[in-house]
Amino acid sequence: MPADGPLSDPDRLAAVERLGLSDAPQQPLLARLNRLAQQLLGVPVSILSLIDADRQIHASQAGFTPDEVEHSEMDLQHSFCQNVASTGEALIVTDAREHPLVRDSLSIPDHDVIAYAGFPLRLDDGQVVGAFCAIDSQPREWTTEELEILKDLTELAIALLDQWGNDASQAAA
Amino acid sequence: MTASVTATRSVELESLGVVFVVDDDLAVVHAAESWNGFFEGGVVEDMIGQQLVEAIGEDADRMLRSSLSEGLERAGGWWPAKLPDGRRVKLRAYPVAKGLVGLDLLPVATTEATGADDATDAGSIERVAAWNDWLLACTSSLELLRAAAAITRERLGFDGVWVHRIEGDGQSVVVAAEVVEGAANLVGQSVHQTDVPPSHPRVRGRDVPFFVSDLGAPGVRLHPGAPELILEPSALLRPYPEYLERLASLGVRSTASLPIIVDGRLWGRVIAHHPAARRASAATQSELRLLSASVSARLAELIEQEDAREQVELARFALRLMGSVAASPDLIDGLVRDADDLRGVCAADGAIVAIGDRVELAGIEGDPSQIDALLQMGRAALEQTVNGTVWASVSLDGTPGIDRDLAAGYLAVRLGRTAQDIILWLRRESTRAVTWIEHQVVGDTFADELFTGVTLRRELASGTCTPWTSAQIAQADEVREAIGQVLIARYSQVQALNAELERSNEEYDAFAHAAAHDLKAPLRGIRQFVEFHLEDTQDRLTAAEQEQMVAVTRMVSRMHGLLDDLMAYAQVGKAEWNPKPVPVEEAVADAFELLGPTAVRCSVTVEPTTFTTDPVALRQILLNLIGNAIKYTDGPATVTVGVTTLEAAEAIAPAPSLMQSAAPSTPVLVVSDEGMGIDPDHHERVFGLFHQLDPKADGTGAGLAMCRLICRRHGGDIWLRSAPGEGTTFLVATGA
Repeated sequence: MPADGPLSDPDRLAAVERLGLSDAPQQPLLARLNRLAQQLLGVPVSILSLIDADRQIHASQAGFTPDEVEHSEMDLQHSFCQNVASTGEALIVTDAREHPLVRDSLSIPDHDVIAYAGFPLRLDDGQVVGAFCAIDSQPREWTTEELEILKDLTELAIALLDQWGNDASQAAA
Repeated sequence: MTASVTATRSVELESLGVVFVVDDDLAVVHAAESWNGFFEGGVVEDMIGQQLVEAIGEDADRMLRSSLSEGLERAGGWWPAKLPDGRRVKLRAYPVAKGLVGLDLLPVATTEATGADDATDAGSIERVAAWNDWLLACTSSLELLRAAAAITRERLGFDGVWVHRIEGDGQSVVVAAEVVEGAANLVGQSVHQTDVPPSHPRVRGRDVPFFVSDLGAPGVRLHPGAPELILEPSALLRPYPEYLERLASLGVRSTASLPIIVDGRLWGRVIAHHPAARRASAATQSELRLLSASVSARLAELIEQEDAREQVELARFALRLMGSVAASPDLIDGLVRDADDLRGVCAADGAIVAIGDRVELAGIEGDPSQIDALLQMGRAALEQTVNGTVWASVSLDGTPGIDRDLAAGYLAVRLGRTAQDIILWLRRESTRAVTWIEHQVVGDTFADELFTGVTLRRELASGTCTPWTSAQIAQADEVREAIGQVLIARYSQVQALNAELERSNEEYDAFAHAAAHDLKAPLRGIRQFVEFHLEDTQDRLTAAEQEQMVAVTRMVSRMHGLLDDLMAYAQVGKAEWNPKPVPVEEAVADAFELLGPTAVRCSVTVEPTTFTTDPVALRQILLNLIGNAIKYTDGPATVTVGVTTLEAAEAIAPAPSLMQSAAPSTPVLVVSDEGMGIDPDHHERVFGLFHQLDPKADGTGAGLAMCRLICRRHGGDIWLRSAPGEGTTFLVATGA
């Protein structure tokens, strides 16, 4: 089911499309950022997600099980990151089971997503294509320092995505 | 957010571009002076009260409005925008007060003049990842910190980078440095944190990374009418102006600081200075903030590893120490046998061990009054600690009159339930060079002023010892625990020996009883057959043959008696023991009744008193002692029975060692006769089983053995005073 509102904005979808990562394999360079997030925040999982009209694509990750790597996308019913993509704001969740926005998400029972911190991937053209996030399977009060680290990692990811987007545009032109 | 800080008008902000504060309607409330150089035409003063759209254009304005419509809870990421003149910028918004939003505007491409490197490219990730790999490959904290200095200097292109470790006492030590050629790197020097660069104070009470691109230019100030603002703890804050002024006076133009946080506490900082204005791009700042986080995380791991390694080293001493404790019957002897082992446990200069009234020194010598004062201090400190097992201090808590050569700091552990029994490790005063970098402009160049022109004034820090490391404290605590276990083990060993002894006693009793009982049956058979044989053959046997057969019956009877006594002896431990005050006269009367006809050959004087013991046991003891008196007295025997104390009994004859722990007031039964007496050579042998001084006498010689057994089984003993011709006095303590 395609999402309504900001997520189905054609300009946004075009920006996601332009990255050319929707059906591509994992991006090793981006995955390094996920591993850094994993290491520096001490979280089990970090994901860089792109939000399509109806699915969340995992462009890179760290901490997935082999089975989860195999299915490197999920429908939006499971997605926490879609909230970041639609509002363009960071989503900081201490305990998902008690958070009004995500407490009904299937990711809580299916993937043990309890604590979540995600920052928007806002590209040069202003479009938010997805989120860079850290996930914990236990409730967690994210510290200011941890959020600053995550924000810095997000900035680096955005810089790379911008470069790739520009390269793709130039190649197309 | 709790971590935010309140900015007053004195706070200066640091931005690579321009800072504004706007209200809900995007009207400019404040714009920094940097506006004037950034936007052509129009000055700050003219902007106040105007709509922001006039400066940043429709495009950026629209984007801001949509993003701010829902309210702003915290600083977001950078927003790209295009200005009306075509320049590309990034905007970041953060809440500063109710109804007010702070905006940081950053040019994407910068001019050569500012020296900024704004290439936010894919290289950032590769760099950060490569740095992280480098840091992970470091195997010591020193190697890691040198890498951090090298990376920081390489990325910023600054002339000097120093890594400081914060010491506990308001000082920091330079532990690694990367500086331009010819400059002093200050490694190993202590610097007062609050004093001068390259150390520095915190930024508004927080240990955040910061970058100041030009100390020569004023920071972004809020205009006089601006309200108090709540700022994000971001790099927008500048450190205290006083600090920056001191740096500027040394010729520093750009500075940066990356905190190193270990276990939630500020461990140290990577500090970089450069003599020219130099901007670190937003990407570089991001990279270095991540470097700071990577260094912090890796350093925590390495410190833990190094701690563990140090502890292994210390554990060798502890193992040897516990070896000699285990091998020595006395705890305190084992502890002080090798002073090096005891000191080595926590790298101390010496130690004092105090257990009970005994105090021993290891590796030190000291005046007794000073040693006593140190012990009092250690005990007092342990009493005040929460769990009370270990306490370490680099000072002597103000204890007066202690030689600095003896101790300047201590580590105490408690051995007993109270803090009376302790080990007190001591360290002498440490001396170290503290460098005060004094401001003194002498040359033209940056290196002249900051790196070589400064005066290094050295002092010897005094009054404290080198700090005890957590590994040393942990090792001392482990020794404390190990000693506790040795003591417990020894206690259980004694318990086990007692149990074993009791078991073998019981087995012996059971064996003796069974053997005696079983031997008696065939013996009865022998006697019967010999008697039958005598009756049947009376007429046919010669007188000599008859006599032999009678001798056989006599010997069999005697053997019967021996077995009876052996059984009685074996029963002693099994008999019930019900002590109570027994009138001595009654007990003597009972014994007389059992003595039967022989008693007429005896007169007894009895003291009218009581003796607390088991009445049956008392009767048996009196029976034996009075019986012996009769047996070994030519003619009628005279016996005196009375009760005295152990203390008084000692005057008659020294008590055996078993009685050593008994109280002096322990009652002792005194039984004296005026018989033939016993040669001192035989005083002990008379208590042996089946030992008889006079083989011709009646009985088997089990009586005194049984008396001794009864006494010893119940914590007492029996001993005597006698000499040939002087009679014999038996002293009996039976235990109550």
